Amino acid sequence: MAFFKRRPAHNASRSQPESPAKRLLREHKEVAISSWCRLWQSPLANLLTWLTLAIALALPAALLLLLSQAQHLGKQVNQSSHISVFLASDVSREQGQLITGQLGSRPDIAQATYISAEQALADFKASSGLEDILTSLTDNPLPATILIEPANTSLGPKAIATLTQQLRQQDPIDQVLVDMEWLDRLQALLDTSERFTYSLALLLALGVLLVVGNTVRLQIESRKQEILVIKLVGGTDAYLRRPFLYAGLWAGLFSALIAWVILQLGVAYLHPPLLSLAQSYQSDWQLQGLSWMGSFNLFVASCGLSVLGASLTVGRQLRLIEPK
Amino acid sequence: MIRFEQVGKKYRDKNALVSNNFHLQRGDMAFLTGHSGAGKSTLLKLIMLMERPTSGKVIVDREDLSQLSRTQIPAHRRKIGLVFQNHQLLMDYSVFDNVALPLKISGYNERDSGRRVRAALDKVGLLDKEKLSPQVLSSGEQQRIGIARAIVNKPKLILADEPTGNLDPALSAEIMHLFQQFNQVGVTVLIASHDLALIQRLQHPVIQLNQGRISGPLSVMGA
Repeated sequence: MAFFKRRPAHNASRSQPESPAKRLLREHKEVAISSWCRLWQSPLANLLTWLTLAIALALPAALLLLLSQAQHLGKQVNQSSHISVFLASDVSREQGQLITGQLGSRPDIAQATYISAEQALADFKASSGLEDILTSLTDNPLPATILIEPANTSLGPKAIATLTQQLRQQDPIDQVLVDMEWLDRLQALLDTSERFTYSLALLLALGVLLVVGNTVRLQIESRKQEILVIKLVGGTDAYLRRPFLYAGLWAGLFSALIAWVILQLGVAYLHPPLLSLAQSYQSDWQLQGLSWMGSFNLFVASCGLSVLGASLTVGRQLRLIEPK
Repeated sequence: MIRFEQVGKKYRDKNALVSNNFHLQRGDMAFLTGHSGAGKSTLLKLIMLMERPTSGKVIVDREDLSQLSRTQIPAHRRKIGLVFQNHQLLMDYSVFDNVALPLKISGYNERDSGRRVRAALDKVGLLDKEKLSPQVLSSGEQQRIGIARAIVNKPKLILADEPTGNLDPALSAEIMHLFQQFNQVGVTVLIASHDLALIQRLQHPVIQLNQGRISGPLSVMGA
């Protein structure tokens, strides 16, 4: 019977020898395509899974996006923090300007601006809308002020605190005001938000692993017969694992895509009110969507988590299915 | 090709096989008989490494199976063509894909695989059915597809577990004739069957199992 005849050396029945790497590549391509085709056999079920994953991804991604921009904004605020130095009421205009000049020449002060008591009153009249009441005052209750812009604010709140301390000790200076508390609070708030976001991201990443794991478990369950037969005719674990890992990869890809769309829509939706909020503070800050790098990270995280979730489940589940 | 040395298998407290010895030479064809529960399936499972013996040694193709680790089992199974009583075909695969499965697992490319699958289907006389689903075929045809899948890899050893269990006598004889043809070209064949009438006509050695024991040396029944 010719069928069982083994051809002589080099296995001439094969058209041409294929290198192991080439063979592996071809097999991966075949599995990638077949698992892709399998996705569309139950599109609705898959879509629901992808949506679940996408929401789990979009939430921490959105928070990280907001956080990184809030931190950026926080830095700007920090850098533009001024120190207000109130001079004692008996300091004359000349003395005040002299002190301003001295302060302005210090290396840790970028700029010192003298605001006379009269100018302060005029500014206050203009901005407060209390013009009538203020005009009726006989004395100017406002002191002369030196507005100080510290140099090197990147040194942080500590440097500002030291500078403030030194200013307080100078003689004709009545009071030094710097909104350090507000800055500290902002920093603490940002730190808290950062930790909260990371914890949430960690929990939701765990959620992604569980959802993908469970989906793969159900897929394996529904293909039990196929897996049994493949095991009986000698399919290796790697061969059996592959389609499920690719299913995980596709799930990761699609859910990242959906999460990306959700994020961009969310940014577009939040943009107008945030813009008017920023404008009311005379800020040109704008909410940015995901950058190229951010989008890339989202896709890598999503695909990585999904494949990890699939591989954690598939090995254990495949061991449970043994031909009896 | 297959050698059992003092092989025993216990399931919990029940002995399925008790210290059995036998040797099936390369190129032999033999039947394995016994009433149901005598240990036929257990013996085949030990050869396929679906089970491990509780005692003794199973040697297949000069390889001591106890030395094979879990990861080496697939390679061992690829050397054996296995035919089941209930054919174990995948109904959502076409006939062609069912037969091509062992080749796909071994990494054949489409061209070589197609050629071999058609040769195997031709061998069992079902070349014209390759595109159909196994579901629309008769049970005799389904069993022949199962046989085509078992031989597509050109194994040196074919094991069959009650391959004619669901078939009428004429179809059974036809299936057995196929196995004889494979044996004539040098393939070692071991068939578990309780169809004694058929076995007697075929004049091959018989391994008789009785309550987990081989009840005698290899004999040719009716000879």
